[in-house]
Amino acid sequence: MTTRGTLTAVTKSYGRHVGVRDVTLAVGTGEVVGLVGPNGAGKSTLLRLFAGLLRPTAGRVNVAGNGSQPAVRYFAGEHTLPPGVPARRWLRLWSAPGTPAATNRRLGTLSRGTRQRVGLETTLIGPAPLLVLLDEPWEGLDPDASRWLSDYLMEWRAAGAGILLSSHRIHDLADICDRCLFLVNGQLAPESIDASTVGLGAPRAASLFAAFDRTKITR
Amino acid sequence: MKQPSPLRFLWEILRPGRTAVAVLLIVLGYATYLATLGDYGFDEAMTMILVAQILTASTGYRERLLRGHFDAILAGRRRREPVALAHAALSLVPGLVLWLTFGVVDHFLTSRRSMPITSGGLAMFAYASLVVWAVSLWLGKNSGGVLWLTSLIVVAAAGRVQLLREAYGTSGAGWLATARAVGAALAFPLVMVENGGYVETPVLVGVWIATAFVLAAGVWTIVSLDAALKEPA
Repeated sequence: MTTRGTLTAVTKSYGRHVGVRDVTLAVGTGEVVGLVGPNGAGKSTLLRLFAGLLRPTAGRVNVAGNGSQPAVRYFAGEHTLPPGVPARRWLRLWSAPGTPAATNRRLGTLSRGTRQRVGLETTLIGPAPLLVLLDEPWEGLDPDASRWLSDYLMEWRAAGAGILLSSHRIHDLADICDRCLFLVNGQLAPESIDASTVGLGAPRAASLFAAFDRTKITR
Repeated sequence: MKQPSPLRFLWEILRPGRTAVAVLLIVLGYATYLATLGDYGFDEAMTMILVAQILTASTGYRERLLRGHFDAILAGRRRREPVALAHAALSLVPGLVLWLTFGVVDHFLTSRRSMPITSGGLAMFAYASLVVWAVSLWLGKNSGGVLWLTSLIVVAAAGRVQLLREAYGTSGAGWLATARAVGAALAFPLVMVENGGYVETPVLVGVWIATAFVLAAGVWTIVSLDAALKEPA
């Protein structure tokens, strides 16, 4: 399997604080990888390293690029949308059609769920990129929008995109991810769960929860 | 989805709001009125335009970067220089429009050589605007303008203005005097719009070189700024 993005022995420090420590991770073509961890574990830092928004203190970040396909799509959540821009203008900027909820109201005045949907639309709509990075994408979404998001990601997986998702909602990851990694204190836990060992549906989610809890305890 | 250009993207974020545009129009109107009252009125008008211009150029960058507002245009981008240059250009646009409009209106209303569109006026505009832009990248919106105004007040309060004027006025007497004149123009750029906006060529070259350095420093700041996302409150 070819890789869409790779972190090799990556460490990211902010002064004395280490956000991510010695992480090696590859996201393959048509693969959905879930990233689970408690608050402050380094999930967002890891995604931002992949997106090129942070430079590693040590190690290497490689993202595939072929010139004809957008390399990376990244969305860190509704709180990263500029609050002063009207929703309709923001969607038009990205040539995204927009939901009925998209009005001339400023993004900062919309509900959290609507902002999340607007942000996801501008990130997701268009040709499949090589690598998709979404930080807590299900936060604030209603069931319809969650289904819309999952369908989109499945389409893109079929188109060969590598997808890296972080979430606290392990059930969401269980339904969609090929494997799930656990990040604790900036380090990837040795346990990872893949589809072949976990099975499908609720048992799979239960196994993920169990693995996550075990990780927390052993750290 | 079509990725917008850095100029188009940043315009949506940096464009002045309706209130800011209204304030700028009021400033322009009042400054034009003052300019018609004679030389004293013109000096006051220039000061007003300058204050408005340096405040609009202090757009800030770091705070918005930490909030993730630039994520969509920076993610996956191998080079940030086009984003940095677009940020600089758009930060200067409202002030430039104000500056040039005032210059043109003043020229037609008073039939005199208008200071803002002389070589000295344009050099001062570019230098002052880029300095406050570059400072505000780190320190936040309006900070560059406030610091610049404060520094002018401090220079004036310390009684150094006359010394700087004298240093600026001796630019023809050797390279050391020229260097001092450039230093005076950089420390107190208003001297460049005195004497009808005429600036000697070596001083002008020095100021433009300094302006290019300030622009490069601002671009470097945007290219190299790197920090964790600020968590929402």
